[in-house]
Amino acid sequence: MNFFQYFFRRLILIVPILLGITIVAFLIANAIPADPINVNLPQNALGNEEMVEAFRKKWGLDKPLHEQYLTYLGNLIQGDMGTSIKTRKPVRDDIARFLPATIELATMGIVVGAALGVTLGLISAVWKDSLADYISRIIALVGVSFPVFLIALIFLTVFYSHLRIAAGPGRLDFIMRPPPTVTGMFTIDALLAGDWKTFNNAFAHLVLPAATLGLYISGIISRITRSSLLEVLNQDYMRTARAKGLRERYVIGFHGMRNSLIPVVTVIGLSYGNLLVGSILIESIFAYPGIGRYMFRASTSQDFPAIMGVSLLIAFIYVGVNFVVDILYFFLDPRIRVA
Amino acid sequence: MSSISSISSSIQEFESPSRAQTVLHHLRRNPLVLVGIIIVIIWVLVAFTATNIAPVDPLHQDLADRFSPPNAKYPFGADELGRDIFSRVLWGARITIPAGLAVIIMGSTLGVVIGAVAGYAGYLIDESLMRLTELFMAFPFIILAMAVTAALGPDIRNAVLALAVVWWPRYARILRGLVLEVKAQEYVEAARSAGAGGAYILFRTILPNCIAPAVILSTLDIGTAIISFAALSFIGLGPEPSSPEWGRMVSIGIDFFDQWWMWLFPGLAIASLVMAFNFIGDGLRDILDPRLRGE
Repeated sequence: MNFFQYFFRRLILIVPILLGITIVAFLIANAIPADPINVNLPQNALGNEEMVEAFRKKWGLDKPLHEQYLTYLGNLIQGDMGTSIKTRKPVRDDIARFLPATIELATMGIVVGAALGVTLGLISAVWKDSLADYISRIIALVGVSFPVFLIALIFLTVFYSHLRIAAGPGRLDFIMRPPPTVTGMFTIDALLAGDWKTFNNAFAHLVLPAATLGLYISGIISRITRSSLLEVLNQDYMRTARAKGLRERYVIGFHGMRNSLIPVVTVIGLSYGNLLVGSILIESIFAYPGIGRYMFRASTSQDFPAIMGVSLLIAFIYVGVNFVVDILYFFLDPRIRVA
Repeated sequence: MSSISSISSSIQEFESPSRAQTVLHHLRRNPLVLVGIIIVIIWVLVAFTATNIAPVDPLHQDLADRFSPPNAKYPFGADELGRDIFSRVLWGARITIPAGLAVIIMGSTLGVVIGAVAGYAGYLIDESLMRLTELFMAFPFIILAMAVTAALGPDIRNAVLALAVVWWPRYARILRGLVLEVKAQEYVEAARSAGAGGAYILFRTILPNCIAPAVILSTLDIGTAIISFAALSFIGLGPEPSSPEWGRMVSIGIDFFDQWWMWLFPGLAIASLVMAFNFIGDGLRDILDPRLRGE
C-alpha cells in the first residue's frame, strides 16, 4: 500500500466518527436538558419574547428532532457554536482567542511527558527490578494517582512561592507586553518578532504548567514503554543482535526501542486527551488564559453553550491527534506497507 | 484479546489449590498490595464512623478561627469560614467512596449487558452496538461526562450518573469478545439442545463464565473513577460549594493559595485513596496476568 492510499483510507474512516461526535453533542445539548432554551440563554433574555423566538428559529427548535440536528450541523459547519452566557460573545470567537495559548502549553506538555515517560520506562525495563526501576515506577504511580490539580498546587508552592526559581502565574510577567500576534502562541510570535527577552519570559512561564502536565501523563507512558520493551527484550532477534557483537547501547536503542515503539506512540496519542483534560484542571491554578481556564469558568458559572463548544472542540482535537498517530504507523510499522 | 483470555484462563487455574499458594507467594512479593488494602480499609472505616469520630460538624463555622493554620485545635487548619478541615476531610470519605463505587457498579453493569447482548445476538445488533461503543471511545470520556453533567445540572447524583454513562464502553468491548469465545463452547450447544431459551443461555450459561475479567477490570478502575469524580467536582460540576467533598475543597482552596492547608489535606486524601486502589490493582494484574509477570 502506498502512502496516499493509506492516508485517504484513514481519512475516510474518521468522517463517521466526527459525525457521530456531533450527534452525541447534539443529543446532550438538546435531548437531556428539559428545555434547551433555559440552558442556552442568559437569565435576563428568557423573559424577552423576541430573543427566545430568534433562538428557537436559529436552531430550528420548532421542527422535528432530525431537522433540528441538520440545522445544528449546518450552524456548526459555519463555525457557529452559540453564544457564551458569561462572556456574551460567540463561543467560536472565545475559542479562537484562548486556543493558541492552550496549544502552546499542550505541545510543551506532551514533549515533557513523552520524554520523561519514555526515559523512565526505558530505565525501568533495561534495569528491571533494580532500584532505578523501583524509583521510576513510584514516579509513574504518583503520576496516575495524584490528582493533576494537586500536583499543580504543590509545584507552584514549592518552585514559585518558596524556592522562587520558577516564573509565576500567567503567560508573561506583568510588565511584559505580548508580542505582535501572528499565531497567538507567545513563544513563536516572540521568535518571529526576533524578541528574545519576551521569548525567554513566555517560555519560563510555560515551564511549571508544562512540567505538571508532563508528570501527569508520563505515568501511563512509562508503564506502557516498560511493558512493551520488556516484551521485546526477550525476543530472539535481540539475542542475535547481541551475538553478532553489537554494542548494548545499539541493541537497546535501535533493535529494542524501534520494535517497542508502536504501543508507545499509540499511548502518547491517547494521552493527548488526558493532557487537554488536565489543562482544564490546571490552567486556572496557573492563571493561564487558555481554553482550560475558559472551560473551568464556564463550568463553575454553568455557561452551557461554552461547555458544549469546548467539549466538541476537544473531541475534534483528540480525533485529529489520533489520526496523526494512525498516519505515523505507516512509517513505524513496515507490515502496513507490505499489506 | 489474548491478554483477556490469558487473564480468564489464569483465573480458572487460580481456583486450584496450587494457584492459591502462588497467590500467597505473590502477595509476599508485592507488599504494596497489602499496604493498599490497609489504606482502603482505613478510609472505609473512616467513612462509616465519620459522624462519630469527626471532632466537629463539617459545616460548623467559627469565623474567629478562619484561616487558622494547622494547630492543636484544628489538626488540618481551618478554612475561609472557620470550618474544621480535619472534620471535613473525614466526612469527605462518605461522599467520595460511595460515589466511586456507584460509578463503577453502574458503568460496568451497563457495559457487561451491552457487550453480552452484542456478542450473543450478533449481526446487526452487534454491529450497531459496537459502532456506538467505538464512538464513545473516540473522545476523552471525562469531557463527555462534563458535558452530560452540565446538561443535567450539577450535583452529586448527576455527576455519578454522567460518569456511569461514559464508563461502559471498555466493559462492553471485553465482554463481547468473551461472549463470542464462550458462545462456541459445547456446553452452550448442550444447553440449547436441552431447550433453553436465548435469555437463559446468555445470562445463566454464558455470562457466569465470562464475568471474572469484568470484575477484575472494575477493581483496577475504582481509582480512576474516584479521581474522575474529584475532577468533576473540582470544576464545579459536582456537589454544592459548602459540601465537604475533597475535589470541591481543593477547588475552593486555590483562591486561598497561600493557606496551603486548605487544599493540601483534601488533595492528599484523594491521592492516598486513589494510590491505594492502584497498589491493589497493580498487584492483581501482576498476580493474574502471567504475560506481564514475564514468565
